[in-house]
Amino acid sequence: MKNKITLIYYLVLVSIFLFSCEIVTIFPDTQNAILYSRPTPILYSAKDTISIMTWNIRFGARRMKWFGDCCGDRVILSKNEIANGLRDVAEKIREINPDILILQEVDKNSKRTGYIDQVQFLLENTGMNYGAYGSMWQAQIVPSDGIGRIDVGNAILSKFPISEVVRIQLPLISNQDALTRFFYLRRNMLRAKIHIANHKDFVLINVHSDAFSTDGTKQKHINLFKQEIDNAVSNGFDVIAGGDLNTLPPQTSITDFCIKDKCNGDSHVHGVEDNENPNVSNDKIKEGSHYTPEKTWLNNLYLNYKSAISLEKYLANQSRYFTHSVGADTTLDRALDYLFTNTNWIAGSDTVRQDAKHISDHLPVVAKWKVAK
Amino acid sequence: MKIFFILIISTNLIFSQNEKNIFETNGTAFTLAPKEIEVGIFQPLRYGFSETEEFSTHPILFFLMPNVEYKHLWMKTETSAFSIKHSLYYPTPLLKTISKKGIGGIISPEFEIPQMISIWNSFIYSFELSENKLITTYASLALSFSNKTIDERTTIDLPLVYHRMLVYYYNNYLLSFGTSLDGEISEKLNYSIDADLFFAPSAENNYSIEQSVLIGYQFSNKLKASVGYKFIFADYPFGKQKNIFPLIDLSWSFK
Repeated sequence: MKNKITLIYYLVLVSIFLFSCEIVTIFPDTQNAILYSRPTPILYSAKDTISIMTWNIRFGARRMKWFGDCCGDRVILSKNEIANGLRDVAEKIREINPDILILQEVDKNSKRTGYIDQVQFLLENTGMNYGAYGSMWQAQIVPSDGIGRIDVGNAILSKFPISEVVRIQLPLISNQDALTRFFYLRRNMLRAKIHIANHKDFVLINVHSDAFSTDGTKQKHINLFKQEIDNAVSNGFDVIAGGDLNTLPPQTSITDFCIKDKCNGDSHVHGVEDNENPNVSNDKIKEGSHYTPEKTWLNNLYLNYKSAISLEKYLANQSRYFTHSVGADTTLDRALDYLFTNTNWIAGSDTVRQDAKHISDHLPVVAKWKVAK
Repeated sequence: MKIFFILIISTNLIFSQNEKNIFETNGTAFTLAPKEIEVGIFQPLRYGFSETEEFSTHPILFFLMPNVEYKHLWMKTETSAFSIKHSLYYPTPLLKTISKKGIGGIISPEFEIPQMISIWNSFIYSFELSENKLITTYASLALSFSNKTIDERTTIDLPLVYHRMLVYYYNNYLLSFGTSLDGEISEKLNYSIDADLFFAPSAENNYSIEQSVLIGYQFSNKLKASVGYKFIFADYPFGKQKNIFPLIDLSWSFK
């Protein structure tokens, strides 16, 4: 070997990352959710009537102009932004004081939010005892826009014990290129059983359906959400199901927000399928603002189950029940967040907490529900 | 994919003292013979400047990350060698390249990448344990200098990369230590076993322990293939993590 020089090529260090680093987590169709619990649970006495709340907390980013959803250019939050955002979310939850909370867009050890486990933080700072988490986007690194490490998903927090929590994978968008699809969101539902002493166990379902698809994926998610409720009901359970469905209630007056949501530089804003201008690149199109084709997608849910905000009530005063406006604009303009049950909500207990409009781009929907014995 | 490729090459580049191969190769205390040149696609270009001095640089990435390394052999006996190595890296152009909107954006473009250099100073000692068995140990102190503090949100949270880049953050210094055993099993088979520790005392998540094993097969005088693994246990801002990676190396040599 003397007098020989060996030149080593570290070609396969590339494969190190590609094959064994689990850059992106691919989830099975169903799997157990990640569970949380307070080391010493707070003692809550059993209740006949409980308060349920759904809230897309936007990972505690408040109304920051995040690059992904509101024409912004921010990606990684500062320490102050993270602290203030989570503090506000926790304060609002404590103020509303729900017994069961279903959350969307909760970050867990993501770079953009200072690697904080927001499920754990909210569990510890809202008086909840039990939690569960299912990721919809988990990657060691997303090599785009500086997102870096990401883990964001749906969560359930409860004062009462939860069990059999399952993460159910929803279909992926089919019309993305392979690379984008590999690194893109993998949305899911969480299904859990809630146990309150001396009462019948009931099923809780948390969903965050797709926002930006143009291939019918959102409709598939909504249909699967209803199917999951149907299954639980057919198995004899009472069900509370909700989340961010990313579509409008039937008969909503305004269904096209393309102009309102338009960013500077958008040439055409109705989605890929409507791109009639061959000179306009599809990547300049704003998707997720044109709800007109979706007008009937929630009909079956409203026909078969009770919405916390009844359709009659909503249609009589739509703006009172708006739960969303895009990005930094706090002028609420659409309802995207829902609670449904197969039984009945306590009359008059429903509310959309529009006073929380500075804390997230979605607002909490809250209602009370009687637990069967 | 391209970006990962660049990153890995860069990792090798910055931390070439981490690569322990066989006798008188890049990781040991020995220098190349005068006028001898060693060049590879991803390995540094090495040049034996004198009996006791060696210069090297990485040619491919030089334009994205200018770099140069100088090794001085202070002591050499029949069975051992002691050398000091100084390496200079200028990562700013590379970091600016991967700080962008859209695909390929490893670092968010909302942050400014300052002008930065790092200097790695290593003491390397190699001795022949027995025939065809060489042990090398090193200790290294890396320092960095910049015209502005880099935002800590620009870290790249990947194994092999995160801790090596800590030299540019949190008081701008990094320690590393390592040892390796290189030897021959037979005329055509050889091995390399190494372990390294990267430690940034002033950072919160400050250590990475790495261990690798490579078995090499000499197909001819010029061509060698190696297979093995690299195990990494490290503390990151998001928690501790273990990774094990396969390694497959191709080596080419000439006189």
